Amino acid sequence: MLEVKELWKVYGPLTAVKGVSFSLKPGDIFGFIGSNGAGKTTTIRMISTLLEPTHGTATINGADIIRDPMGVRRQIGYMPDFFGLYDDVKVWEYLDFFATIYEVPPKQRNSVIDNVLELTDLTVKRDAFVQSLSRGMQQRLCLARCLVHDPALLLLDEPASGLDPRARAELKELIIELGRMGKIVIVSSHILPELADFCNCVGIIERGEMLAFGPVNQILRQIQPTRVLAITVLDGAGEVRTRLADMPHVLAAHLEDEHHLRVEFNGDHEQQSELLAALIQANVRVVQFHEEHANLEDVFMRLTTGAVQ
Amino acid sequence: MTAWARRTVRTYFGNAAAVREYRAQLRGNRALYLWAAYLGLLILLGGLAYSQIMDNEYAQSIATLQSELNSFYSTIIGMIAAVVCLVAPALTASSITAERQRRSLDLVFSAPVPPRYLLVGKMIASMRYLMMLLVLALPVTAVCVVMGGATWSDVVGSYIVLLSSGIVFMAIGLAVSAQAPTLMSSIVNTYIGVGAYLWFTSIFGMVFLASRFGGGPLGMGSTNEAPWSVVLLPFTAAYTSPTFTIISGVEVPNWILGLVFALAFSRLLLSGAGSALSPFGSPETKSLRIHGIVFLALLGVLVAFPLSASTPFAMLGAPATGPSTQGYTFGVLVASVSMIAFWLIPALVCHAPDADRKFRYDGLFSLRQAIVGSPSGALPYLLFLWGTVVAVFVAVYAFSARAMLGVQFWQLSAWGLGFIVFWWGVARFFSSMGMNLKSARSSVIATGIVVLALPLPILSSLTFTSYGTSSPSQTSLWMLHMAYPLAPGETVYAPYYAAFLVVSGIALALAGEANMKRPRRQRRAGSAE
Repeated sequence: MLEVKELWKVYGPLTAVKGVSFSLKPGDIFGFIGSNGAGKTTTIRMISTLLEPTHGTATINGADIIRDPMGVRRQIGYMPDFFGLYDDVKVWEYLDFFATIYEVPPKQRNSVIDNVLELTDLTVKRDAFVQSLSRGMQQRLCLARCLVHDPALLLLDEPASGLDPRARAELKELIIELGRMGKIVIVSSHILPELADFCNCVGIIERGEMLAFGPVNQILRQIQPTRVLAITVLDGAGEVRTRLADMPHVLAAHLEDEHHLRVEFNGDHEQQSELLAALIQANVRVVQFHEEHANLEDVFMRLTTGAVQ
Repeated sequence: MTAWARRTVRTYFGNAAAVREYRAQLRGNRALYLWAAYLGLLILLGGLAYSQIMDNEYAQSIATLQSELNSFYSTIIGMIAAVVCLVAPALTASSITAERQRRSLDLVFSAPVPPRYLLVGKMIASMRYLMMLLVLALPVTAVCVVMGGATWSDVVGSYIVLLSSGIVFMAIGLAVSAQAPTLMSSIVNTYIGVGAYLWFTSIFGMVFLASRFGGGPLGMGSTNEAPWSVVLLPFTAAYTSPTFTIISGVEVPNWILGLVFALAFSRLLLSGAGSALSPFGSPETKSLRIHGIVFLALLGVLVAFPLSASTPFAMLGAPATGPSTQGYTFGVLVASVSMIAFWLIPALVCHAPDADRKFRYDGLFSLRQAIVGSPSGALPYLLFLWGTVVAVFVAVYAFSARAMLGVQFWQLSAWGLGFIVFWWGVARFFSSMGMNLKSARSSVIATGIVVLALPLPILSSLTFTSYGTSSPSQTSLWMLHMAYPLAPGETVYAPYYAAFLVVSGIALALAGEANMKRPRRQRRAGSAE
């Protein structure tokens, strides 16, 4: 269980994070969304004990980031937005180094290294030098490093940046798998459609303030409380609009052009199908009838102003 | 206690950072080629030295020949010392800076290890490498033993002296690289630090050599009794390693005392590096502050014992029995300490609104912050340091049957207190002007250099008080100078100077405090919190 309580970070006249609070439970995959400089990395670094908060705190399974930073570090795997790899070191040596500093017992180290290499699909590169790996592989190696001590919380700061589509897809699968394993995963990213695919919870931050937090569907509903139906007719869209205005559960109908209409509708799926049936019964020649879903990008654009600190 | 033991064992045995560093150092054939070149060079230079020294061996007596062989041995040790001076700092000079630039430091510190773990790991790896270099030089030094230029015990003693110096140099490298922003500044500053260390220690080593070979007024002659500090200079290790210090009637080999000093000093430097890598109020900073006091006490004991119990300490003057010699020797000590304090004060005292929490304004004076480490705790901490040195000297001399503390000790101690308070006040005043941390520190140091160093000869001549004369004047700025304790005859005025410096320092600090209370400063300080 991760609980972030009123985290603040102040640098002289600049307030980088303003009272960010949220809580996550095992298995949650949390998408942390914000523009560059919004405060995502600062928040993640405070949770990972690398930055001391000016005010507030966070606890991970009872361990406090201020009072018990070592206890917190034992439970987290932090993957920054850079690799930080050593030169002249082989893949297994790199993982062995981190397994040792994470106090993995010497007898278990080899099997742990094999397991994380298998999980990240790097087994064949066990004896390769880290600098010889491709960017995607280096990213996976960083993730493997985060996993050597089986952490309860993974903090992944822009894990998909610079990866090709295949590597991104693989990373997505890996994160979903980690969520299934009961880990709390915090992922900060700019690639919003991907986040929506695998995050069950998102938070939007701007200028250090958390503007929205919660399950993806709930947030989408917050910005779009009613359904929006897009209807395309063959002809007579104006007449259809008049007809729609009198129908049950229709809040408003907007004419887009002579074929397209957008309808704000507060009924459920059954009432939605009744609406379609009523239109057809009224001899309206319907070409398309579908519900428009808001996505994270819409939410992000609607909530944020693009201002930076 | 168990947790502490576990942490210590984990840090010193099987340290992952040491293993990784060592793997990288020995990877491929690079290390092999380097060692082969090093050994080849050593043999070549040794051969040249041998041929030069033994050029006329058939024309010489046995005694002269023995002396020539001793010279050959000291040349070899001198060459190895040069290698230690060059290689040891290089092993650590860029290590932390490189990690910071590679951004791997965050990865290590997001794991449950304190900075000490990483620093000790790097020290262990570097020390192994250095020991390998010393071991590789054994065949060359063995030649000296075989030919009769030295004994194996001489070689062991010299090697320990060299290793002690190497430990200090590596610790200097780590301490500098923990703070330096770039590789270049890290390397340059490390070698400047090593140079300063050699400069300080060369005073002891060279005086010893002058005493040994010049037979001057140093009271040592051919005896091996000498102040322990002579072993701090690596270049003279062949001559200084057989020396000893008499402590409570026991002859303690100086290489042991030198090793104790090196370990304590490097521990202090590592604590400094650890503190630099840690946030405000970290255990590393507290450890550094406590180690600073302990180290100073230890150094005080190491200095005070030979001063109080042995004659050869009076290496810069007449035998150490009279109070005037004592005063002069204390003068050297106080001047050296004040030079170090002058550089330390801005680092501890200065504060700025945009700095880390460690260096942000938090009041004028707080005893509690003395160990935690913030600007308000700077003066109490500096006073602790000053008090520790005074207390150690008083305690050691109280137990000594051969010497008593003279009045000049108290005069110079009072001046030392005034010096600290005055420069504390200057640093507080500059910090209150709203500049950034680097500028505040630079201003203090620039003031020290410009106001004191440059006009000093002019002002001194105007006030008819000049360096090195016994014509004192209370109006002279000479009292602000770090080398004031060396001015013969002026220590009489030290208490008056001390009072003036204390009052001026407090006035400057209060002026700074008033400056901080102005609305703009208050707002800036407030927003920083």
